[in-house]
Amino acid sequence: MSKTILSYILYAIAGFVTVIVIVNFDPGQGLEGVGLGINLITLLAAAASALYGIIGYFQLRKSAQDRNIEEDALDEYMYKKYTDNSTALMVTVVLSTVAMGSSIIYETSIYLTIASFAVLAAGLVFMSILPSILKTMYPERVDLPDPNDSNFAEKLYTASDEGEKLIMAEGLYKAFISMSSLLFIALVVLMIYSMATGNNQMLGMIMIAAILIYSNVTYALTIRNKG
Amino acid sequence: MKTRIKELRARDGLNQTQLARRAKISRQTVSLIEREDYVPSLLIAKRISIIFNEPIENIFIFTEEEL
Repeated sequence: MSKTILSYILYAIAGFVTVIVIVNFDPGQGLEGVGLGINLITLLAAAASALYGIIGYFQLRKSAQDRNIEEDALDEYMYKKYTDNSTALMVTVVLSTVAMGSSIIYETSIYLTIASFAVLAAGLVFMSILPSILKTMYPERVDLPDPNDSNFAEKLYTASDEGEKLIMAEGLYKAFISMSSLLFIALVVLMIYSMATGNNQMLGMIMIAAILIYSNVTYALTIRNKG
Repeated sequence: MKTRIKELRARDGLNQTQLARRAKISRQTVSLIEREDYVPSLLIAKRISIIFNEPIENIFIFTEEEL
C-alpha cells in the first residue's frame, strides 16, 4: 500500500516537473527560467523521501526487536522494509544534492540552500546508520560486516549466501543495462541541449562518457577474466 | 526441477526461517528454492537432505529433459 502511494507521489512529481519545464523552457535561455521550480520540487521530493526513510528506519528498528510476530512474515517484512528505506535514503541524498546545487547555481534563496543541506545531511546520517540495523535483524548471522568497516558493501556481498547473491546479481544486471542506456540517452540530450541553447555542456558530456566507458569496461573485464 | 521442500517443511513443522537457520542459509534462499526459481548448490542440497533425513533425489526432482 505504502509502495503504491509512494509511486503515485513520484509519478505526480515527475509529471509536475515535466509540465513546469515544458511551459517555462526557453531554448535561448536554457533552464534559467525554471531554476526556482527545479529547486523547490527537488527539495520537496527530497524532504518527502527523507521523511519516508527516517520513519521507516524507526519502524524497522522496532520490528527487529519484536520477536512475537510469526518468523517468516517478520523476516519478509524486514527484508522489504530495509530495501525500501535504503532506496528512499539514496533518493534523498541525490535529490537534495540537486536541490542544493540548483539553489546555489540559480541563487534562489539562502534558506533553500540551508534547507537542502539539512535534508542532505539527514539523508547521509540515516544512510550511514541504516546498515547497523542488520545485526539486530539477523542476530544469528555473525559473519555480517561492521557498518564502519572499509569496503562494507563488498564484505556484505561476500557474507551473503548463494541465493542472496543471485538476487543481487539479477538486480545489478538489470540496473547496469538500464543505466547504460539511460546514460547514453543523457549524453545525446546534453548534446542537443548544448546546440539548442548555446549553453556548453561539454564537461557533463565528458563525465557521462567516462562513466559509461568505465562501468562497461569494468563489467566486461570482470566477466572476461572469470571465463 | 520440482522440489518437495514445502511439503517436507510441513511434515516436520518447520517454517522457512527455521529451515534456513538449520541449513545455514538465508530465508530468501529457501524461498527461491521453494518457488523453484533457483537450483541450489550440492552443498545446500546435502544440508537440506540431512535436515529432512531424505536422499537428495527425493527432495529435488528433475524431469527427463533436464537430465
